[in-house]
Amino acid sequence: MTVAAFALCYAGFVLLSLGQARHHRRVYGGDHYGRQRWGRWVGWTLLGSGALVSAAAWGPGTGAVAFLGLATFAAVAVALLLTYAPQLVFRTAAAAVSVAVAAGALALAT
Amino acid sequence: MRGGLRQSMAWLHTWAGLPVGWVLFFVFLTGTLGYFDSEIDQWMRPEAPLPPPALSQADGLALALARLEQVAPRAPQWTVFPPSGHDVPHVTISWSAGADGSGRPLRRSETLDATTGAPFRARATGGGQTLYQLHYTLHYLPSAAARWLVGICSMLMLVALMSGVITHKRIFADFFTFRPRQGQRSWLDIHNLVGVTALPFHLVITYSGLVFFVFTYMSPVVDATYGRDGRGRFFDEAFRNPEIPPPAGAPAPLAPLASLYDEAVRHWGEAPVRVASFYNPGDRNARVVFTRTHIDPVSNGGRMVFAGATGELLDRFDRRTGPMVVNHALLGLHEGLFAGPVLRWLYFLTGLLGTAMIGTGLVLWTAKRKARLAPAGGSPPAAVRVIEHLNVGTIVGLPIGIAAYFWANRLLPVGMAERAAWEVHALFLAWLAMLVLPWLRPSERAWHDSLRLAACAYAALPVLNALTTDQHLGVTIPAGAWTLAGFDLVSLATGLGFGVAAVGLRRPEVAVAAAQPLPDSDAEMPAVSAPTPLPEDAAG
Repeated sequence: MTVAAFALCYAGFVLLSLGQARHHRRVYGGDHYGRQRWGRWVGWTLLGSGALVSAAAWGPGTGAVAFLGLATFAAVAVALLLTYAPQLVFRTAAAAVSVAVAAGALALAT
Repeated sequence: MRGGLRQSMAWLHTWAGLPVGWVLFFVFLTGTLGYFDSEIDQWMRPEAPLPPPALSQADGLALALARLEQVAPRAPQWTVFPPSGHDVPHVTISWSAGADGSGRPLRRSETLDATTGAPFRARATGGGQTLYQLHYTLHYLPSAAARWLVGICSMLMLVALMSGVITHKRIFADFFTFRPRQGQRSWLDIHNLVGVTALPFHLVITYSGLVFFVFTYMSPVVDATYGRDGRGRFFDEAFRNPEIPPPAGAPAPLAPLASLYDEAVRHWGEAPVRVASFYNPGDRNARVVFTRTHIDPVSNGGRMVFAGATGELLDRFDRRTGPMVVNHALLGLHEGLFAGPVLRWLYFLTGLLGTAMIGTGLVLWTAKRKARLAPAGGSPPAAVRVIEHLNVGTIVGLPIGIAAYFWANRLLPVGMAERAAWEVHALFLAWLAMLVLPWLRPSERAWHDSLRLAACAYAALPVLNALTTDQHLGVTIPAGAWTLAGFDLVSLATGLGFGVAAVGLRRPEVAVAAAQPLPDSDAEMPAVSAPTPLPEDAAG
């Protein structure tokens, strides 16, 4: 569940960053307001799911601590990737969501 | 106020942070290492059996009691730390052994070999415990002075955090922004990135650090109700310290510990005991007190009190008053003892981010002033040079001092008198040497030399370990002893990190970029006021 929570935080932060004009321009070369707004909504939703998964895995108290810790490093990872490999960010977010779904399914199955 | 709120907050941020920056760097770095204190303990006692045997808590307690009855049958008090989770793999016992020459109570302790029950002879070392305690004892200071000094620094840290948030005008817009190789701006980006992404940690750790010594800092609040002599009574009431009757003088054997332990398991679940204390053992008025293991941020402080002779449960408390829950939760969050391996790593890495935030803040102060002066061709004034020297000597020098602590552990003769004390002296002597070095070298050279030295000091630690012990990577990895292997691997990674930093510092563009001032460099702290194009945008 650690992997799933981190992947959700990471994907959430990627979409939130793409919802910002600066990073959207950097990655796509221009503005697209509809897509940016959509990115912010999905981003917050993914981040919220990361919090819920943490709470489910560790309980509310420890889960809150774990979520904040994981979110910190997810945000740092997004910032570094936006600097050094901006063309990859969206694909890594899509991959992260798939990993989160797979990890969640695995956890439910076992 | 000419510049308005943001400008005055920027001023406050700079001048609250700078004067205590080096102490805070020390506090954060040594405190962060505390999240792996028992792992460091294990590395620093290579005589301990490998791998640590899997021993149940009940067996550990039985082992401890057998040894205590043999070695300290008349001691008025025994303490046992049974194995609890990954951070306490061995059984440790201690007992009160009268007083030393100056009347101070004396304690002796042993760590037991799980297979034989005999104490294993390990070298004298401060281990991870002394290392992490530095962050509030400051080692050479009397404890009251150290508490107050750390408290004042923590308070200023809180001020710097708050004013930093207020003065950071693009806290959301710059949340993911890092622009490398642009000198001062890059330092500001890193400072903001590690400051903002880990802000919850920084706030909680700083605030809860103050709460640890709240009864020192705010003693008049207690005195107002309990009087100046009533502190002991206050602590007994607030923390519900168990009442221990004086010994009756009539011998009575301890009730079988297994039944007491079963009672604890019934209420608290598996492996529930972090500390077992025995008062007046062997007397009719014996008391046995179990303190609960930490399972989440708010569960610490649970306690069970038994009558030692009959085994009767006298008192158990888990629920406390609201303020005590808050107090325990804050201390629990600070110590992170409830954290499993994943959370522990997160604590450790976030602590490093906090250390990095302080370090980059200090570097930023000099980078900004040098950038402002460079176009005029002037050399930096003495004050800037002093700060820069302190920066090199602490930001790289302190890690070298910590490496010296580990080197001393392996190199000092095992039979040496005051050995553990000299390990710590090695830390501070090496740090002192690194503080002196910048005065002898030009500033760029000093950074470079220190970084290279740090890289060697950490990268060579696993080699030193292989030469001086039989618990090196060639043994620990095949044996799956990941605690010990982890220490060596983290040392290697640290050395590599310092090496990369040393190489990165040599790139000429860094020096050039550092010499260019930012457009609005008259602002103290927020540097990028207008939305500035990213380098690619500027090029395209």
